[in-house]
Formats: sequence, structure tokens, C-alpha cells
Amino acid sequence: MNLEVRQHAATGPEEAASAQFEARAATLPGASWVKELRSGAMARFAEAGLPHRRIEEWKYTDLRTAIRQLPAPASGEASGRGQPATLSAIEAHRIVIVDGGTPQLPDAIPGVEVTSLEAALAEGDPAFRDLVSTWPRGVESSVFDLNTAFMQTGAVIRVKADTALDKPLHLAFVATGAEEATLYARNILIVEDGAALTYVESYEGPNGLAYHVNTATRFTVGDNARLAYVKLQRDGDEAVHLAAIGGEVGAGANLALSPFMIGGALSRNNVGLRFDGRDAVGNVAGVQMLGARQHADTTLFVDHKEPACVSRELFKSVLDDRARGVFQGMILVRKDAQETDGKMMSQALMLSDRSEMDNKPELEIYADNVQCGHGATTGALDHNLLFYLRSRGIPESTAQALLIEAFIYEALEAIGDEAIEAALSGYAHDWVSVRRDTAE
Amino acid sequence: MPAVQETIDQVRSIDVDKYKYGFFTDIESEKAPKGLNEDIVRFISAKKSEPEWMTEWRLEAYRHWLTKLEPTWARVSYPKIDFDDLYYYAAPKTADKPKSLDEVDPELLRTYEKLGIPLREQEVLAGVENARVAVDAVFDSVSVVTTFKDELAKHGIIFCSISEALQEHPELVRKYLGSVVPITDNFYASLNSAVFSDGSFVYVPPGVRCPMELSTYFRINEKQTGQFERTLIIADKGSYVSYLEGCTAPMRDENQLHAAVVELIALDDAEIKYSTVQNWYPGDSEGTGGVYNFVTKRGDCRGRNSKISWTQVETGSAITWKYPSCILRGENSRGEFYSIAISNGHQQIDSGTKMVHLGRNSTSRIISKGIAAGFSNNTYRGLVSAHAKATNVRNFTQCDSLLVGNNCGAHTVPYIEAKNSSAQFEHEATTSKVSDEQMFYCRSRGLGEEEALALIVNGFAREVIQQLPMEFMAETQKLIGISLEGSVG
Repeated sequence: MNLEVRQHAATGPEEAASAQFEARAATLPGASWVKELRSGAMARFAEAGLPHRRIEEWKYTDLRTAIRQLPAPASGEASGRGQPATLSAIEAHRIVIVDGGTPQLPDAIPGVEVTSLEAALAEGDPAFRDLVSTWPRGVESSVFDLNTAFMQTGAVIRVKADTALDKPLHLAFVATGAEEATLYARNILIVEDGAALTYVESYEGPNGLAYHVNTATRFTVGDNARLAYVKLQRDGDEAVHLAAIGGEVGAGANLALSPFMIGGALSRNNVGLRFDGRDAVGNVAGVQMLGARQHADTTLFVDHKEPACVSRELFKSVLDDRARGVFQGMILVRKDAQETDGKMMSQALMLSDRSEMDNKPELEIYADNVQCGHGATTGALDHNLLFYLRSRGIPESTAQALLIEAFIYEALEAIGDEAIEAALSGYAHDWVSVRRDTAE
Repeated sequence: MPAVQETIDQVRSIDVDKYKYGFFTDIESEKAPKGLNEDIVRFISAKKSEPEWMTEWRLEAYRHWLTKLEPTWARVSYPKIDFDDLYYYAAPKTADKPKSLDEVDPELLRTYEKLGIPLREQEVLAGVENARVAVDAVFDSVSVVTTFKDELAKHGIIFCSISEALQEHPELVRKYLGSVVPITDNFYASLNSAVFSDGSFVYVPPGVRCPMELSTYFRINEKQTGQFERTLIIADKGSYVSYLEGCTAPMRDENQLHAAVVELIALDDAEIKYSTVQNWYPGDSEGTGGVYNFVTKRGDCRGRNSKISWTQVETGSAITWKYPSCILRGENSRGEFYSIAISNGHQQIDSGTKMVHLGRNSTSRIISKGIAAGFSNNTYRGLVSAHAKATNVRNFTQCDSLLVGNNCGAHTVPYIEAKNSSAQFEHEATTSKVSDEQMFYCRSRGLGEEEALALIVNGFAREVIQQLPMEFMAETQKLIGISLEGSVG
């Protein structure tokens, strides 16, 4: 409990980061304000190093021991070609970024502006600057500083006021395996007042390659706007995926945020969202399905700054083999946020005796007229349910599969787009099938 | 409900600035010089004529303490404590130990009388037959009087001060002291191990059911005296003991530090029930003064089928930092934690429990009720963990918070760590306020605002109050009323 924080010598990856920054700083995109931002962030990283278990928010995910080496930033020229396999069947406006290169932008979409991060950083629009440099509480970390220092590609999307898109917008990141690199992506997503958008961000890559993804997406949802945000992480089995997602929700707006983690050896999502206007609704529904020695951590910070907002957090973890799942959720209700209604639930299904789940659902409340609660459960598959299904002639492995899929379905439902729900459900089904095949 | 009526009367009769138990007793005392170094540790040990190994043990603890930093993770804030500006030893001046109550300094007895401590048997509970409470009263660090010892001795139960136990049962103390809370455990535990003055020692032999509730009243009286209590309770195979602890402290302006360590050990089939009512001086209405209560309490369910149950009512202290925990080592062992934590004024509470499941089929239950009023902050912090080999363990946790007023904060920080699939953990937490409907209903029945609040809060905390031994139950209901004084209207 009471351990001293010792000054430590920089680890290999920490030294590598500094060296990489020195080598690349001159060629990284952006006007002079961006350069300042980058060197400030790098200085903070050099000071703090990678997050480790002595830092409360990183107690269960110690990057200082988990990350042995930090691959160099992607050159951006490794391949440049390639198409995403993930969610390719979904009809969508697609932005594709291959191996950290320049985004392939879709045809013009009425009411929507899409540019590359590089182009946006070259200019100095003050509103854009703010979105790049100021984030709500809950996402800051030295990993995020690293992202700021190296951000090289990404998309900047603006959905103009009262625009409703006919189909989802899909931002796909593809690692082809042409190089073992770190992808530093920064995306900005602006949904103006009254607009509506279904947005999918996907990550995929080959197995057997220890590449890194360090990505940050900053969103802002205007008054009475709607944003359904799905993040699908299907990285390769040796990949490290570190992400920050954060933004504000305006008055009367509706945000559905659904992180879905199925790939990667080590992943961490820092999610921070803040209610900036009354009567907004935030619905965070996450799923993680992990096997082998996968480690996935979702750390969530919900900041109720304004009154009468509703937040729902539902998090489902399915853990097999020696996987380790972590969920840390915090609901902060500030003094003025009267009539807040907040509920957080984390449920873990443990399929193996060697799996591990760490839950830390927190409440911090300063307003008295509120309804807040949280719950957390962990346990194995219900033997009675299994028995019931088997007594109906369903083989054990199929029965298990059915129960697992049913378990996560509650979280998938929150997305509100049937095609995407079905696609995610399909990935879950594949995961369960692979597991069943190995079991048999 | 007569108890509630009493609460109301109490609320009326007590002004928030006039703490009920705020008075001084003027007794000469013998002090060690201010500050802490190896010589002071040796001085304390020598004062108590301790064996050589004990002195070494203390010194080792002191050396560990020097290497540790004060913990900062709790959600509390206070001015930095100057550990060199404290007295680490103060003993009431009595040439010889009194043989009976008649020989005790009448000043002392009057103090106890004002506090309403039932030292004499007939004062325990009028009209209740066979009700007996043995009191080992601790006055400024040294046990002055111990009653009922003879009767307990008949059953083979050892109930004495820990310094006495060191003289008479050194083998037991040496075997168990520090075996649950090692000297390296944390900053305050190391400090306590180095300088602890006195405390209670209980040993219940195999198969014995302790015939009475054991109780101790701690008090801090001497100015600027940090009090470092050490309690060690051992329930041998198949035994049962219920221990009560209640605290009050005189009013003062300087902050007082209290860093106690309590160790409980339950062997096979044994059960320990430990109840606390803590109402130390919380500081005045401006938030100055008040006791700093940094306590390490831990129970070790060492044997099969053993059980440890903690019940606590926390209403006092400016700052509370306290996590009575259970190490569930034995197969089928059980840990329980029932807590009411009420904070008002500028109090800060960071309290909770740890249930560490190491043994197969061990179960635990946590019921925590936090009530925050005034400008206070009230945090529940708890850990439930299952070791990879601890199969079929279960935990149920419920922590509810109630907010009274809009300047206070209620926080919940649970850690839930499952390392195997057969562990079944359930955790629920809610935060809400006293509903207008409930208040309106009570008001329409003619209750005043504060009476209504006391009634509702007593109802909210009922599940925990019911776990308390009978004599504490009534006291607690009164305390809840007193603690919430000034929080509405």
C-alpha cells in the first residue's frame, strides 16, 4: 500500500521514444504551434516515462513491464495500398489509412467535410487547435503525450449542423505487416448541432507481428446531435493497442459509444466523456472477448458537469484461457449536476480457471439530488442454464456458445444500427466458434 | 419508537460546538520527551519492562518506519503531521497499580462517570439479568483497571493489557504479535509497532465460548499525545469471542494523531466478532481540531471454518483512514464487514474493507452505509480478491451512500479482482439523497426536520445497526442523531 515511488532509470522503450523523437521531429507534420505542442508533450513523457502500476489508473496495466520495445513510428510509405477486411460488407462512406500513410478519402458527402490530419495541422484554425490540445478529464497519460508528440496521420471529420448521413462513416486502419512500426493516429470528429452520425473506427493487422497502435480520437457532439460511435479493435495477436477516446456531449444530445475489443496482445482504452449541456444522454456499452494471454483494459471517466443528464455504462468481458480483463470506470457528478441519473455495470464471464478479471467501478459524487449506482459481477457460466440447454439435446459446446453470445448481446444492442450489430455479433460468433473447435 | 425519541432529545440537548465529551481531566502524567528516535523507542520498552526481543522488535519496526513515506492515496487532505512534535509516551502517575476500583484516582473515575462507561457491573444494563460487560479501560495509553478478569480466568480466557500479557504470556504474544499486521505493513503500522503504548490482549482457549462481551474504552486525554493502541485477539480452535470497542475524546484545538493496530486471529472453527463505535472529537463547526484516526485493523481467518465479523460505526474524528480487513486463509472461512460511516461538518472519511480470499469455499459479505452531510467527504474503498487456487469463493458487497445537503461528497472506490472462474462476486452500490416524499411523510406526522432525518437515516443504516451488540445498538441510534445535528434546515 505504502510503497515509495523511486526514481527509476529510463527503460529501453522510454529511451527509444526520445531518440525516435529527435530523429523524426523535423519531418512530423504541422505548423509551428503543433511543433510546440509536440515538444511539450515529449518533455512530459521524458519526465514521466511509461505508466506503471504505482500510478493508480494503471494499477492493473503496467506498461513499464509489459512493453519491452517501442517500434519506430510508421514511415508512412511502407505499402500505402491495401483494403480493410473488417466490416467490408457494411455499406459505408469509407476512409482508409494503410500502414500510417495518407488517408484515402471517400467521394464528397453532402454536409460533411473530411480532411487529413496533416492538412488540418498545417493550418491554425483556433477551434481546431483547441480540439487537438484540450481534452476532457480521463484521457491524459504519458501514452497520450506520446501520441501528441508523434501524431502523423488521421482523419478530421466535420458533420455540419442538421445533417443526417444516409449511411455510416467508416474510418479503417489497416496494418499490412510490411513493417514492424508504431502507428500514431489522431482523429478529430465534430458533430455539429442537430446532426446525426453513425461512425465506425476499425483497426486490423496481421498475426505474429509486434506492431503498436497509439491512437487518439477527439469528438464533440453539438446540442441535440446524435453520435453512434463504434470502435472495433481486431489487431493481430502480438500487437499492442493503446487508445484514447474523449470528448464532450452538448445539451439534449445523444452519444452511444461502443468499444469492441477482440484482438491484440495488450490493449488499453482510455475513454473520457463530459456532459457540457443539460438533458444529454450518454450510453457506453463495451465488449471484450479475450483468450490466450491477451490483456485488455478499458478505463472510463464520465464527467457529469451539467444537470439532468443520463449516463449508462455497460461493460461485458468474456475471458478464456489465461486472458486478463480490466475495467475501471468512474462516474463523477459535480456539484451543479443535480438530477443526474448514472448507472454503471461491469460483468465478466470467466471461462477458464486461469483467467483474471479486475473491476474497479468508482463513484465520486458532490450533488445530492442524484440517482447513481454501479454494479460488478464476475462468475462462470451458469450450470443450470447449461443443463437446461443440454437437456434439450444441445451439445455442451454449442450450449456454451449460445450462452456466451447471449451474454454479450445486451451490450451490442446499444449501437442502434442493425447491420453493424449483426457484423459485430458475427465476429463474436467466430470467436466462440474458434474456441469451440479447439475445445472439441 | 422510543429509541428515536431519545435521539431527538440528544440532538436538542447538544450544541454542535459543545462536544458532549469535550472536557479535560487534570491528572499529572509522566511523559517521554517530544519526538521520536531509537532512544525513545528503548525508553518506552524499558518503561514497560519488556523482554529484550520485544525491544528489538520495536527497533526493527522503527527502522522500517524511517524508510517509508506517508500514504497519500486516500481521499483525505490535512496539514502535514510533524512527527517530531509529538509525545510518544504518557502514563498516568500512579506509584503502584491499584488493586481494586476503590484505589483508583477518583478524578479518573469521575471522567468515566461523565462518559457513562459502565465500569461497575450494576451499571451495565439495569434490569437485564446476567448481562455482563468486562471493561479494560485504557486511560492515556496505560491500562489502569481491569475488571472481571478472575471470572474470565475461570474459563481459561486471558483478557488483559498487552503489556501485562508481555510479562505473563510472552510466548503467546511472541507467536502472534505482528503475524497479521507485520511491522513492515504500512507507514502507520510500522510507527505503531515501534511505539505502541498499550492495548488489549485476548486469548480464548480451544472450545471456549466467552461468557460475556469484552469491551474496551479508548480515550485520548493528554494534550499532544499521539495514542498508539495495539490490540491482539486470538480465538483458538472452536472458540467464540465478541469484543466491543468504543471511543470518545476530550475537546481540544490541536489535532491529535491516533494510529492503532488491531490484529485478530481465528483458528479452526473459531469466531471473532469485533464491534466498534467511534465518536472521537471531529473538530469544531469550522473544521479545526479533531482527531486523525489512521488505523490498521486486520483479521486472519487462519483455520478451517473460522469466521471474523467486523461491525463499525464511525461518526467521529476529523479524518478517518480505516480498513478493517479479513484474510480468508482457511477453507470455508467467512469474513463479514458491516459499517456505518457518518460524516458531518468538515469531516473526511476514507474507510472500507478488504476481503482477501485465499482458502477454498471461503465467503464474505460487505454491507457499507455511508452518510455524508455538511461539508464532509465520505469515501468507501474496498478490495475483494480471489486467489487463483481459492475455488468456489463468494462475495456479496453492497455499499449505499446517502447525501444530505449539497456541499458534501460521497464516493465509492471498490476493487474487485477475480483470479479464477469459480469465484462468484457481486457488487452493488447506490448513491441517493433523502427523498422529499419520506421527509414530507415524517413531517406530516408532526416530526421536526432533524427528527425526521434522524429517523430516516436510522432506517437507512438498519441492516448494520442490527449487527451490533445490544448495548451498542441504543448508543448508536443516539449517535446517528447527534452526528447529523446541524445538517438540515
